[in-house]
Amino acid sequence: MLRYSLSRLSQAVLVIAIMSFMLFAVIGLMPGDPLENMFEGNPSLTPELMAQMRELYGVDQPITTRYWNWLTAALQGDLGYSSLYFRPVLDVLVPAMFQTAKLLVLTLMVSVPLAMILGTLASRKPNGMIDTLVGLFSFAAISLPNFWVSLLLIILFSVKLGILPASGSPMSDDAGFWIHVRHLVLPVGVLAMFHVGPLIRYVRAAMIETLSADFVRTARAKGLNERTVIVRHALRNALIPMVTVLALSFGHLFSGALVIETIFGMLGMGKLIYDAISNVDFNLALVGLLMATIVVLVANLLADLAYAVLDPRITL
Amino acid sequence: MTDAIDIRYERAPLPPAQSIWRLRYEKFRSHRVATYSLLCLALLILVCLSAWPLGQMLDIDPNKTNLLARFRPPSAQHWLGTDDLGRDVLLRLLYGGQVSIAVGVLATGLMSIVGIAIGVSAGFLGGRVDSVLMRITDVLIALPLIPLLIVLGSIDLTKLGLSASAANSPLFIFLRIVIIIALVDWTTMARIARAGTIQMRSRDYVRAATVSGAGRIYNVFIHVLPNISTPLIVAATLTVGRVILLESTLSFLGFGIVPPTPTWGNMLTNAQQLIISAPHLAIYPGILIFVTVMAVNFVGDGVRYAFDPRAENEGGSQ
Repeated sequence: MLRYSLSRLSQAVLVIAIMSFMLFAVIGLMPGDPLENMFEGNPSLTPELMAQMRELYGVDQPITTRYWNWLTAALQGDLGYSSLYFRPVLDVLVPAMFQTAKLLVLTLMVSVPLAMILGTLASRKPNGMIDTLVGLFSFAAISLPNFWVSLLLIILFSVKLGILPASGSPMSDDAGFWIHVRHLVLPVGVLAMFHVGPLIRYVRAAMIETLSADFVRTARAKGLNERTVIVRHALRNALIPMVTVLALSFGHLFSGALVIETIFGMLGMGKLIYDAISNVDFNLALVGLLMATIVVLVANLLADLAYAVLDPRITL
Repeated sequence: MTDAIDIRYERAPLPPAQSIWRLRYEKFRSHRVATYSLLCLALLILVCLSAWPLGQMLDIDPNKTNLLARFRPPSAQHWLGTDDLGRDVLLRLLYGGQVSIAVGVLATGLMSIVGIAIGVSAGFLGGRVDSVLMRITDVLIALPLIPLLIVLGSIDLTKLGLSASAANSPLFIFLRIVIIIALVDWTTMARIARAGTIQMRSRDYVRAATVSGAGRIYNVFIHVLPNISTPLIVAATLTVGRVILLESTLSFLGFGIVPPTPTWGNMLTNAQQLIISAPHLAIYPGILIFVTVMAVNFVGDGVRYAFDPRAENEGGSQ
């Protein structure tokens, strides 16, 4: 177990190192360079001065050198300044991470139980009426563009009915608990809908398989009531592989969070990445994307380890 | 007791020969939702393709802005009215449909080629090649696609040596979105191709061919690819819908296909600002995305049902 964890961990570190270089290279291909904004605001800069400044900041160096400089600084804790917020990148990103974490945790708290309930209901009679309805719902959830659903819900609940705010976070930080809740209803709802579609299909398939297993027949044969059979025997076993499915869906969920945060104006990681790329904020885009990558990879690593803990048949 | 019992064996008539495609077609037809979805898609494509003659007939240019004719209600010339810049909504929807569907199909084709090449190489060569390629696949499958696509979509192509006019031409913007989606979303195809190839690799006829001197390339094209095509076709069909959603999301965010070229995604970009003044403009493109993606997914489900022999016991609805 320890050996496996360590080898996986070192692999993850290697992957993150490679990703950081690739992101560095790709972000370097965004329009302009980090000094361009400075030049635009200052017409008195002569081309010679500009070239000197490029040399001073090392922008004219080959990419390997620039990456090495960035990496050595980053490992010493200097991730640079955000040209969009005029603050150190970390000061901007850390609060955003909490914001996104809040959104994602709330979404999971809705989507996972919903998928378990609907998937289990559907699995009890494959091709029955409930199954068809649940299947239709999950198909629709997979096929709906989440940004459009957000727009429709804003039109309906915020513009027409006026009962829910159109933004995801309150204007002032000291707003009360219920105000926060009201602001989060729409974003969490849309994101959960976006996340739940594939999960339902997964739970259903796993439950159909588990319900035909010998131990479920035994449980029924010894006279347990249906509820206990399903909840305690079948569902618990069907859900073990779900840890992996959930971890794999984490990247997908983060993609959704970017769209939702952008539409509902929530200052989370997704919106920061979006703003950084829109406004060519090199440092913020790079560190934001890298952090998103690290979070997703670590979630996957933890899921693999959790899988081994939950299922004693697996030895690592 | 005169008659001996006359036993005559009659050969049971053989069922008429049926090709596998015929069987699949019949099975697909029996999946009612998929059949209707296919019809609906065909109709949609036809309608979208009629954009040019319709524009000629009504004498409208879909990209021509007219600030004096903004937010017009439906009329004889503008059947669905005009948008915030005075452009005809219907024609833009139809042209946008052409673009969205074309991106869906082309990107799926390209990613299939990439994914199959990677998956078959990994499966057939095995060893270190396999483990490296599959590690890359595992990582890519876990990463959030939209942020990656946004970065790739914001790349300045002139930095890669393209001339500024070429980089900003609609054709290149279109090709770019096709290529970047294919570049990040080939993982499912690769996994399926790899799993199939590993099964095929150890089959007797592949070994026999190898012993008789067949090269790897020959084996891959003659023995492996035709035999793993079924799950690949199914996966590709289901991918088209996802690609259309990805493209519309990217275009909505402003990193996909940019105006004046209309797509269903970028027609919604301004919708958020217009929610109060013109909410109806937010309705049409979204409905079309939803209907198209849903229809494509149902067709994919039908194809899966028709092509996958194991789907028989399970029934068609899932």
